[in-house]
Amino acid sequence: MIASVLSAVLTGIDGRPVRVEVHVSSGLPGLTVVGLPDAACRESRDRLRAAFISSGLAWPLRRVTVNLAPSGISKSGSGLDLPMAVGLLAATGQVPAGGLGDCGFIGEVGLDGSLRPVAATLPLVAGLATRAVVVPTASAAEAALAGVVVRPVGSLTELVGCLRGERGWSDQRPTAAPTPPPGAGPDLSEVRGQRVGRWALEVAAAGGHHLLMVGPPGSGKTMLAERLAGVLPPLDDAAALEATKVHSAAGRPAGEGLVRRPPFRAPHHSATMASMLGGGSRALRPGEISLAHNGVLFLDELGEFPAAVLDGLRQPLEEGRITVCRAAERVTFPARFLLVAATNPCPCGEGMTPGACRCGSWATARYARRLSGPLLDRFDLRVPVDRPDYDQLLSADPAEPSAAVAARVGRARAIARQRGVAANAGIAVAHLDRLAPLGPAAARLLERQVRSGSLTARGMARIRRVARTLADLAGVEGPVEEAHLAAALSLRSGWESLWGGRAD
Amino acid sequence: MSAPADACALDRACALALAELPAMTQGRLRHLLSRRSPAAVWSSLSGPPGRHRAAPSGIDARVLGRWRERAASTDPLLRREEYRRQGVDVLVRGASGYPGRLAEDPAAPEVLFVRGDPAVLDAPVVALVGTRSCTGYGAVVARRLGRGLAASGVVVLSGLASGIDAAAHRGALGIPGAPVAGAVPGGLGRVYPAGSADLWEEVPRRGALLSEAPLGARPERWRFRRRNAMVAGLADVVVVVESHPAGGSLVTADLAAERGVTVMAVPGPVTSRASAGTNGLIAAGATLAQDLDDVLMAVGLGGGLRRAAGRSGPVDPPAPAGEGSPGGAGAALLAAVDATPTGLEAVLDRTGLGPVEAAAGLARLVDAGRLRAGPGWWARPG
Repeated sequence: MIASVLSAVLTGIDGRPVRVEVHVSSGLPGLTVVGLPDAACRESRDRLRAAFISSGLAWPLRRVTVNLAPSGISKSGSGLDLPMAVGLLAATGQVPAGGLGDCGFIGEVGLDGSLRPVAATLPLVAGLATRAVVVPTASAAEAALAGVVVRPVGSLTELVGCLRGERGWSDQRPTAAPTPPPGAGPDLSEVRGQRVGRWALEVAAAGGHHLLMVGPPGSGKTMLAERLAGVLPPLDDAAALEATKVHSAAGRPAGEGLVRRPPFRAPHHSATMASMLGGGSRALRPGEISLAHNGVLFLDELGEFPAAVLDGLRQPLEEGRITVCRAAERVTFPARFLLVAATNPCPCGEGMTPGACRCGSWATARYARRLSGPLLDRFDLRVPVDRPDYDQLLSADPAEPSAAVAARVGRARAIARQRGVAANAGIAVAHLDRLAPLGPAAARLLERQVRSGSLTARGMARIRRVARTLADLAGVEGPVEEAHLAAALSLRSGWESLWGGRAD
Repeated sequence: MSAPADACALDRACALALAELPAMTQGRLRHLLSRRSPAAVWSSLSGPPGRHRAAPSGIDARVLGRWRERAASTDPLLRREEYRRQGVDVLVRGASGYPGRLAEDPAAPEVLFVRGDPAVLDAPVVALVGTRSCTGYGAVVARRLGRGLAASGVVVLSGLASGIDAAAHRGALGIPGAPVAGAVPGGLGRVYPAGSADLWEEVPRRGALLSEAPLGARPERWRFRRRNAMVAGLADVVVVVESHPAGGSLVTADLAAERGVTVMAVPGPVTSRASAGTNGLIAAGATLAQDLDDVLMAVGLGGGLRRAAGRSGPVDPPAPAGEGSPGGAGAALLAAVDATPTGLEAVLDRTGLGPVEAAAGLARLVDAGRLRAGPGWWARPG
């Protein structure tokens, strides 16, 4: 007897359909799993045997072969327990084999016959091209996000009842994902002073411009960065589904619905290459940059991150995704994030105030090696963050709350969407003249800057995008005015002299 | 060994070869050359042992062994040829060409390497030294003093380090034809720091670049103190422009004071760590260097006449009017930015402008050449 059941395994952040074939024939009793199963898959055999016996089902005392097709790709995880159980039941005639074709099965089976949720349920269900999917009850909410009919089941006994038609499925129709209430996170009104930092934060959020904050320890860089996600607009359906899939693939159950609020990830500088960029020794998991997809990646103490990790950020910053390659497989994870970094100007933290630095030239040079060049170039906004003075700290005037900033950011992003980009940072160089034209005075100022050698071609494009964002925030619809271009210049200039330039 | 051209040339070649021996120090060199000529010392090392010439006494046997090993396989004249190819000449203390002022110095190097013409050091020499991590203020003062001294016929001597040293030399090199001199810690064949590569080219062309280290020697830490001693020994006046409380230029000042060389210091803001060392020097009795006239007075080159007519003053000359208009906020912004760097946050506080207006106005002023932009700050140009 042979039976075949549909399920899925995870590759990167996408589910890939897998057909579980079960063949039962006469021979020495035993169960073999073939088709490149990992340890968790092979252990299914023992879990299933115990579950069958505890559920009062007949365990076949015959030769059983389970094939996981396509057999060329390696399978991992315990989510194949459930389809194997269904296949065994069908192949041994304990449930009818008909009607299994349009339904997928994903779930882990416990020794008592109960069904347990597995990691990455959302991408697995989304990857299955079936009309309905049977999942453990605990996974039902997450599976429903994929927009298919979900059939939650609590145990093997219940499942057998449903398959035999003795009881009905408790089908859940896909429902519109609930939108979480806005902002319970930290609020900008708690930040005292820091007019420059707040302004930069707003420009970064409005235009999707990468932001570098430089300042001495204790100046509030981290406090500002933590509030950036709160002023970004909520994710739309497609972006939210993508973000949720990434989080689910990384093993964070998405029981509370889609990730609607832009994620905020702040990995510590001791993070390894694999944890930052994605990878891992057994299965390739998304890294921090992918968990920050459609949200904010905050790197505090940028100068302390290993140089290799910082170099690894360059490709995803450019392409919005990262391809992790191993000998056996290659996986592409989405990684389009807003990079916000904070750093001391030098190890002692005082290097920005000329004459105050206590660092030796070697220590400063080490910082310069990491912070200068290609990575530094990708920050459209580089702002100093000074320690607020006591007057500002003690001031009772409430600062502007996140909601007010978010409203302006939302308006600017809406204008950007009319140009066909999510944010102005995404305007291609070739389209700058069409989408972000310069007024005559602004064009002359830019030309003088380029002629004087203080601006590279790449820097010029970045300045123009920031200027466009400043104009959008100011509600200017026509070409970028000179004032906005000049302000954009001020948000970027002067830093090369700190890292990698002559002190003179 | 090939036939000696003349005794002087052979001495120079042997002195060079001696300086290049492993574990050679100025102390050992001085000990070796105290009684015998370089050529005599060399032949005692390179000749087969047991010759009638006695080996140098008072040298550790192991070191002596390494020297003999190296000396046996080295031809001093070929080495001298190699130096010559790289434009480096060798000077021996007590022989012709060696800077006169330095020759009398207690710590003078026995063997000195030079690129360019050491004769420029016969003119009045003022050393301008200071910290590598200088402020805009320090760089401006150093550049102006360098320029002014060069224009007054004084040789500006400095260490080619980044910061104050480089600024002083760049100022002096701005006066066409004015001679300058530099003293560096490492070998002349090793450009250090990389940011001073242009000075490394230009200083020898316009004067002399000196080092007591052999051609390829690394600028190791201990060599900096030796270099500082050389600066102190060569200068008539040492001016410390900016220095941190424990900066290397204070060492130069100490070494100069030991030699009776006038030490001057440029005062700075009490809030600036880069001026803490120089302000301390003034408190300890160093001469105040407020402007070019003060320094020229100390060298004995007048200045008094102009001084009587009124101090030319450390005040910034009026900035040239740029063609770009800073806009209505320009005047307020200019007033809000100091000669010392001012951050955007402070500018906002002082002017009451919004961030966009202020940032735009500052960029316009930079564009017009009326302000200078640093990492996160703006300042009046020098």
